[in-house]
Amino acid sequence: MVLIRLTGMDLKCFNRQHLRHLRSGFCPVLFWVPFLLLFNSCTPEMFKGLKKTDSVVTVEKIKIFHPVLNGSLVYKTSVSFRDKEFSSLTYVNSINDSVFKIVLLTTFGNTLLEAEISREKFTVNNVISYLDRRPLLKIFEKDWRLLLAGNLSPEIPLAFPPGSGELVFDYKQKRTNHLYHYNLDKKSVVQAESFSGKNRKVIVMVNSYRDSQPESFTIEHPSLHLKMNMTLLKKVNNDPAE
Amino acid sequence: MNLHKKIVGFLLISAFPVLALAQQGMKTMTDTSGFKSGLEKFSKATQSIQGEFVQEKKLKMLNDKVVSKGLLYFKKENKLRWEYAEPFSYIVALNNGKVMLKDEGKVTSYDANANKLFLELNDILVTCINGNIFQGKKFSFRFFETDKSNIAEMTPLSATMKNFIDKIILYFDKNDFTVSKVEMIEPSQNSTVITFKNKKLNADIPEKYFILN
Repeated sequence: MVLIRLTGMDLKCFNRQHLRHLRSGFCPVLFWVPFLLLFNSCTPEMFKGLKKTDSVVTVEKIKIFHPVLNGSLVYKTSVSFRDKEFSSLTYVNSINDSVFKIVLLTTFGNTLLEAEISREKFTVNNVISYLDRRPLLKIFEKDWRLLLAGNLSPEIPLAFPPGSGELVFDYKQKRTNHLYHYNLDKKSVVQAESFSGKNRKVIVMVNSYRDSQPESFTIEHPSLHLKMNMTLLKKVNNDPAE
Repeated sequence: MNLHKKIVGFLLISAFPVLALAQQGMKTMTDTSGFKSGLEKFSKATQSIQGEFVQEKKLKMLNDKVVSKGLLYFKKENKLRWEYAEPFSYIVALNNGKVMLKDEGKVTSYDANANKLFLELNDILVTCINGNIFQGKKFSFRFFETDKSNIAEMTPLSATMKNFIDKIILYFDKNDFTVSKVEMIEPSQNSTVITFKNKKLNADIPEKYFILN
């Protein structure tokens, strides 16, 4: 029945005996054709022909953020969702290169969200009630996993054949592809994209860097009409004497 | 545990709130009605207030102190303007129930839902100056004092407000009854302290300050 649903055919007369007959009987090739078509369609043309790369060098290239051990990076975050716009502040801090803390505040100082992200887990330590929705938190986690793949991902990315002025790396997981465009002149990632199949779900554009940290970048979810502009305001030191 | 230890433990726990207050130099207010009537007189005599503010956010998770600065304008009955200069330029104006926001030159309507606490804070400040802060039924109150301040500790009564705020502590200057400091403690125990300074009473504040365009 699974096969019937996937191929979209109205074959209610088909039962398990028919399937067994197809698989072992006169035409095994015919049985596997829909599966082959299905799996083939999971890998869009654009992600084919990739090769594995030197892991250490690549991961360094893909890093958008670098650990901030003695303070936090503060970003003005302008969010536009459909016809609504509002500003907030995002604090990014790292315990080491594999654990990052992210805090969202309103401009007036009240806490919206406090979360910790690492290779293994995403922990929400505190979230205001109206943001405490699983789909919203999932979007938040996925966005930060896309931004921090160079820091957090244990996988070795695949590389596209070198193109004009950039290297493109791909983290592939099932139907999801995370692409990182490394600009050879700027020596940094200028764009990251998340694909689900052929659909581009998230686009990150890094416009500039300051002291090796992203200074201005946008995170866009075209299908959700959601866009976040992040502008680095300053680095806050957590020296208690200050 | 023997009886002696239990008694000592009980006494220590009972004395803890008193010890904590004493540590901060706070004691229970002796003349609450005198404070309330003084505040009422002040509100009748006050038409406007302007001053500087420093907003300091303490985040437990990051060990960071987040500091914002700016100017605050209030004009009776309920006009307020928060003009943030740091960490970035941002203006919020409340004018007779209408909320406007100016960010990078762009004026937009305010998302009240995203800033319930801010709106509540404005309501508190306005009612403080209008003298009817203690008449509402949104909070329970406890009153304390130090040498310099009268202190009203407000605990929200509604479940909705309790999601946002654990306590709001208002510090009133004993000399002129103006609010000198507001401390807001969230359920996560993150806190925001807003300190007001260089206050000017009854200065002429142009109406245009409360209209953003």
